[in-house]
Amino acid sequence: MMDIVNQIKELDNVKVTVQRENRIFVDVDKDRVIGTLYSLKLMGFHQLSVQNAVDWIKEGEFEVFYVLYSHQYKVNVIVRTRVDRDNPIMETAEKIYPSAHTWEREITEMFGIKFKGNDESGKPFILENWKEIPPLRKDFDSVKYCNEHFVFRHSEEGNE
Amino acid sequence: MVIEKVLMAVGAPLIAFAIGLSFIMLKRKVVPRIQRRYGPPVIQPIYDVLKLLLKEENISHGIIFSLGPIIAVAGSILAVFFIPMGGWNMLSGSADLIALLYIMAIGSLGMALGAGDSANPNASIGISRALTLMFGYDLPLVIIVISVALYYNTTSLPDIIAAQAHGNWTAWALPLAAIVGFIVVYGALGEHPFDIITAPHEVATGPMVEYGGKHLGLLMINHAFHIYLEIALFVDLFLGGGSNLLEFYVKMFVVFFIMIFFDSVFPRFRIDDAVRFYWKWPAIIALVNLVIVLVR
Amino acid sequence: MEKMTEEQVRTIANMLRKRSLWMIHYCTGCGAMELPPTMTSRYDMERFGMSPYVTPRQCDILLVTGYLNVKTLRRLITVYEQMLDPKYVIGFGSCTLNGGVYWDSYAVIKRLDRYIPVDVYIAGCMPRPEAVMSAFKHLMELIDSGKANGYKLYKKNLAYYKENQRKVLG
Repeated sequence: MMDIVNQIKELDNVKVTVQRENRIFVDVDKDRVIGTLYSLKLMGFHQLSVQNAVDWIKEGEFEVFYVLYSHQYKVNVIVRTRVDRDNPIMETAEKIYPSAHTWEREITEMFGIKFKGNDESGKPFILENWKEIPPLRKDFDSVKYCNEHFVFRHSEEGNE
Repeated sequence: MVIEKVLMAVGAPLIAFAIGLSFIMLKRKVVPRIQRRYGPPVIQPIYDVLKLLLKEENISHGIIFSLGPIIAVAGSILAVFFIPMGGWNMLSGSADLIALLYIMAIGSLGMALGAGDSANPNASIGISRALTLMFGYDLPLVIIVISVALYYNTTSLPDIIAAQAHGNWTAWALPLAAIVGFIVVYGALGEHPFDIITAPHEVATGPMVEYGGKHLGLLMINHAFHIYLEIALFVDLFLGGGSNLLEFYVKMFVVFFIMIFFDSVFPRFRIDDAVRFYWKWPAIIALVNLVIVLVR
Repeated sequence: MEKMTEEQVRTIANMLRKRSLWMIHYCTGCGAMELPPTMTSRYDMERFGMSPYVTPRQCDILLVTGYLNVKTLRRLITVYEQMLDPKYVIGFGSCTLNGGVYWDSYAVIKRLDRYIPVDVYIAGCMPRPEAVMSAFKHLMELIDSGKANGYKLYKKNLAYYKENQRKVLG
């Protein structure tokens, strides 16, 4: 596994952390992420397992991460970038990994991050007729939404 | 004379329906015992059919949709009159076997007409598979029927039954034809290796998908007639018919009982596998049998 | 043969209906895991005459097992309206009662009987097969005494149900 780590360290402007065996974290800037993904695919990481996002509300940023896996070396590599929270626009990874098309549709609906180049990114995917802010952001109050839109059953005191 | 004819005309479909119903009841008790559980009570099919006929609403997509089950039941009842039933030769005469092969196809074609009018793609897929399967098992069936007709030099069923009296059945004389006939009955009935027509997990019960209530009750009655038809034909051709009703019923009972055991252990063929199976080994065995009959 | 009164016909019809109920289980959520043990050899359900069928046109009971999204509710109402009278609905698990584990979720409906009339509820997360069978027995008793009237309530209060559905589905 260590020769893989050395090979990744030779790419420019990346920061490599090894958490434990077969799990490598790679941090890059927003503008270099597509180039890094392409180089990793040429190295043998052919499968994109998961692509999703995390909401760091106190730092005012979103973090988008890609989990790549190689069947040849049996190693997971996780590529992380940070995007500004007020105007989140990123490049699509659809041309390198075609399954990113669906992952990015879900991220746009749940977080509000737009992906340039993904033409179905704005269509409703799971929620239909949704009029509020994207629901997985941390400033969305789910209990308030439930009390406004749904009616609970009346139960006696002490049975809650 | 007239009384006897009226009795035959009314009694024959009723007896056929009762025999078919008893076989459905038998199957619903034996298959659960093979699977190590108790099944429903024995008269469960009667509860099912009566409940369906007592449903309060009825959805119909048009006249042709409602005509489908009616044509199917009418075709089956017509075919009942052409098969000798334990001593009663009703409309059987000469050139029986050829006429039967055509009349037995009326049921499927009637269902195809009705299922084509329902606005559901599952129905069209199901009925096209049913017709393809009929295309598959018709080849061995026709070869066997021709070889049996050549062996006895006649195509009328009462003569074939009379020639098999005193225990020299066709099954001992032409054993290969009997084996292929047994396999063809599975395909004609839609039993388990060839269950693709009304498979609930694949095509949402095929042509029956939009029928509910009274139409479905009619289709279940049709299934009872269909079981009687196929097994009666097999018993008449290969096991010597029956001189009275009791002997006929016992022979059919034994044949159906053996069929249940094969039915409950096999999974399902795909439709192209089923046609390929029918055109390979049963067709080759039937052709070998035909050559043996011609040479003799 | 004497003419049968309407009372006698209804008694016979109820006796027939309770002995051969056909169910369509609409596996909306994780509660559907408890149905294969109920149907197979150990807790045999077929000895009551119930068996699973696949299309709504042929069935009597709709089993709503588990949680229901807003997106699934739209399709479930179409399935319910396609079934033929008389029809019964059984709500499985505590997610149809009051939201269950997902009470604070933005996409799951909380009370099933504001949108569809329900006859019998089964509590539990997940209910064991013995609880499921006792619920079926309770439904059979309700049918026998003529109290399982969900389908008639749907037709009578159609405006109420439709308004609730429109409010939640948009």
